[in-house]
Amino acid sequence: MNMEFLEYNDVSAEIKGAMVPGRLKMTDQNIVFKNSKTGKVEQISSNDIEMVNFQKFIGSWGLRIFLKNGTLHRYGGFKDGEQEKVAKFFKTNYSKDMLEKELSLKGWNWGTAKFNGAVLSFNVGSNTAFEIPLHYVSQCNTGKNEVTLEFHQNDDTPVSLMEMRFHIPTSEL
Amino acid sequence: GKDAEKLRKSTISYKSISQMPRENEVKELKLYVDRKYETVILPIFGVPVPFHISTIKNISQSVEGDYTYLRINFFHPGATMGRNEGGNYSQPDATFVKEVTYRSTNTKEPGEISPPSSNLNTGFRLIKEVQKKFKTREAEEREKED
Repeated sequence: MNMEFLEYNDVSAEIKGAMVPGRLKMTDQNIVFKNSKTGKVEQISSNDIEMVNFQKFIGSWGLRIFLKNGTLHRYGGFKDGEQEKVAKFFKTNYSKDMLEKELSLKGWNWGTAKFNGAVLSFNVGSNTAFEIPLHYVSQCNTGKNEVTLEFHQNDDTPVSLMEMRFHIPTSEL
Repeated sequence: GKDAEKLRKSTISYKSISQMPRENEVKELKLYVDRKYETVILPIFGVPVPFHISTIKNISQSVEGDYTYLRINFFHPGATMGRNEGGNYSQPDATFVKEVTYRSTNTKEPGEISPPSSNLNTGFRLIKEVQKKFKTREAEEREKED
């Protein structure tokens, strides 16, 4: 099978909490996302990729690409039938295994906060409940047993996360 | 008794993604209140994240200018407890999400039936409703136990 490139015309990229529609092209050299609203192009060189994961959503799945510089890129809206093809592409061209990064669906508000590169992940047990790319944070304040994060607002999302406050145990301070 | 114990252990929202509601609100990264599983699904940077109703302490809503704000406060160690809530945290040394605030515009775009903030309004109403049901049931179960 010829696997020189893969192209998806109706996927989306996560930008400040919004899933922005666009076109994703993956070649043996790089991954290019073209924002269909703004025409803006984002390019990731295959050499910069540290890890590739997939995540299951309702009726679709997403691609999670973590770069060696610590930044996170996420693309959504892939159909179930495409998963094997994309996994094979990453294996063949980038020698990467596209493993599942399972999301916690437990519904708990307690867990551990871990920093990985420029990403804060909130983990419940061995699964991640959510991730916060740190460049989305506009302000950070600390108080007694408390950390408050304020986020850059995005008017492209129907609901925008403004602020999140964490309770930090004394042992972590 | 035995039933109450069973219930208390089952404060897990979903065992797998197949149990999650296949609703447009979830896919579109809006707030969604799942009455069946007593869970609030919150969009956090591209991911619909479930929070079981038992984790929510209280909520408040405000309208300021062009925006509606919804704040959700969660239970965490050190929070003022209601009666019988006694601070039974299974992992008191964990990090807790204590509070989240969402913002939504009250302005309708051309072609929209309702403004985006209607999602927060519905969310507010339904969280209150599910919370009330959950609390009533918990109180009944405690009574049976006594």
